[in-house]
Amino acid sequence: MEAKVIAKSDIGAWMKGLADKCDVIAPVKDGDVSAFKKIEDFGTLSIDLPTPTVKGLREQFTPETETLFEYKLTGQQAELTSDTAAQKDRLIFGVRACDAAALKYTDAVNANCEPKDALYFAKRKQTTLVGVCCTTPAWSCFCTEIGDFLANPIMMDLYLTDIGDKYYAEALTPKGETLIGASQFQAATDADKQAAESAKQKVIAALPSPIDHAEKGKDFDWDDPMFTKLAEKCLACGACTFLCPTCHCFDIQECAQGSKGSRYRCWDTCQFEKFTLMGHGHNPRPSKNERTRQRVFHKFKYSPERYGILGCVGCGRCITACPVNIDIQRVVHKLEADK
Amino acid sequence: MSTSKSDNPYVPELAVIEKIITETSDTKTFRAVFQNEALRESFTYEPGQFQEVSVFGVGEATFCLTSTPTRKGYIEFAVKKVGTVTSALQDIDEGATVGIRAPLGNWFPYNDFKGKDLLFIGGGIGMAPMRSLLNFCLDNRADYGKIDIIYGARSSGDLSFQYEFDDWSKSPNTNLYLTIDKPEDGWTKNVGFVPAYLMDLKPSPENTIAITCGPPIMIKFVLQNLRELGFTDEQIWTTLEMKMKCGIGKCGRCNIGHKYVCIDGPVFSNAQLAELPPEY
Ligand code: SF4
Ligand code: SF4
Ligand code: FES
Repeated sequence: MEAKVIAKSDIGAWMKGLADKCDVIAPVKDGDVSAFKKIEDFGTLSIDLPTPTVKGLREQFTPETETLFEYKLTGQQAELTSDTAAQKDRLIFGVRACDAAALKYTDAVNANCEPKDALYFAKRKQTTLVGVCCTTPAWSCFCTEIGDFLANPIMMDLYLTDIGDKYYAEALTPKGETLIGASQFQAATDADKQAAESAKQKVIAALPSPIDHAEKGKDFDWDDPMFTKLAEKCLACGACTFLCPTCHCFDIQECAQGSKGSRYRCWDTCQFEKFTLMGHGHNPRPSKNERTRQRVFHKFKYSPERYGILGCVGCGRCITACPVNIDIQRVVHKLEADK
Repeated sequence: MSTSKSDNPYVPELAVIEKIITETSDTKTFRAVFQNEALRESFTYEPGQFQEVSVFGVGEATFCLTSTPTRKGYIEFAVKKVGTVTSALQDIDEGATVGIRAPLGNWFPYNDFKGKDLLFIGGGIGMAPMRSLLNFCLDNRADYGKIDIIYGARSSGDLSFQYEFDDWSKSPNTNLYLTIDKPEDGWTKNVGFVPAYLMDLKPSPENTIAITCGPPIMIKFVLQNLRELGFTDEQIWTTLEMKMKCGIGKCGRCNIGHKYVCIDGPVFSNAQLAELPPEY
């Protein structure tokens, strides 16, 4: 598909033009971290691109809490009053290649058996994604070990690579082609193309080499003694899973007061004891031993077995977030060495 | 664009509780009828499938469909008081509105069971999911060989579905073997645990399918004993209980290895379970 360039100084004007048609969401400084926010003021545009966002795109498609439906109660009689609210089209700017790749996984999960998750796919359909190639990865990043999506991005419409005072902009879908039809984009030269290619190669060279984790995951040892050690350390805080762009587990709960109520879902994690605890007291994953194994096995073994893709994109967030330095990359390497 | 009711898979169908049967001191069976008349007619399911039942104001919980699809117009589920939703259900009255998401999950491969003898082995509330298949087979009696039912509970008062015992035992070529844990005045049937009673009865594994459901400890010994009697893993079927929320393979809660009990189960043969990690 087509590629063009856009001057960095024109990004604000381009986005302001887009904002007439849809919500524009981009990473901005939020205290010490960078977070996706709806941009309201394009005059003082403060998009924070160098720092990876503290969270991925999970909340954009499955909010932390999401109303599933509402109802009215009269004694023991109930009536459904509403379904979910309408939402505007939106464009998310500054998406990392790993976070976009995570959508391939969450798409597979939400399409897992009929019925598909219509709430998730409605938001997916209404969203245009503009990605950006990382130039300064975090110390914990290992995406290149998982896939080549930094060089060959997937699940986004447009991919920007920083080449000095402008971005090289590759359209990856028809939506992306429409985007670079805007007046701020100019034809790219061979030199621009070369510059983008070497920018990508430079960052890739600084990151780990590919490993066929899906293949190696087949032979993980269920009884690997490492899990006893991890269980001793792990605080079961859940930070690793709440920050993970592929984690998707949720709980379904009720919020009711007087005659009105709603059913909602909210993020949940396999790292909590109650996740699998049954009413009568039996728990198939009773200790942190089983629960730390579940997180790693789910991503590196069960997901390839079920969906044909790894449940980790190597974004490194769980590694930087863990208060006791549990490092999934090292855990997986050890499992692969132990088998 | 808002998602309409029809494509939001978390919105239940409304149903009215038409009848409540008190089974034991902590268990009731609920008969529900869909409010939507067209759905009442068209709704069908398979023996072994389950549902998510909403008690509005309290929440949603998972129950097997204990009725059989051969008897149309209503669905039934049996509820033992163990948690919030199950307790709330004990307090509702006939006429109350509930929400139902059904049918969910897989079912017993009853076509493969045709022409075979069936051995049902149930303990306590474990009879509920098997009752669907049992009544289904009795309603298609000619399709199956001999049907033996071994059903046990702690005491005679803990046996559910007593009002159907006559139908079951009077069905042609069908035997009902009841057992309770401890002797009781007036009790004329067997006394002893289900696995031990199974060994007394010594059913032949020849051309037989065994279906078992009950408390984990009972299942453990029933499986041991069935193997001792010569049953292979392919001949033994069970339905698993697991903490569930979505029921449609999305919330990530009910996995055993790469399988989800809510969509790949709840019905498994022992041969299928043997290929999964021991985490259930
Ligand atoms: S498991 Fe960790 S490194 Fe992998 S995608 Fe999730 S947060 Fe990122
Ligand atoms: S972030 Fe670390 S301590 Fe917290 S649950 Fe995850 S592995 Fe355990
Ligand atoms: S109950 Fe949600 S995945 Fe099975």
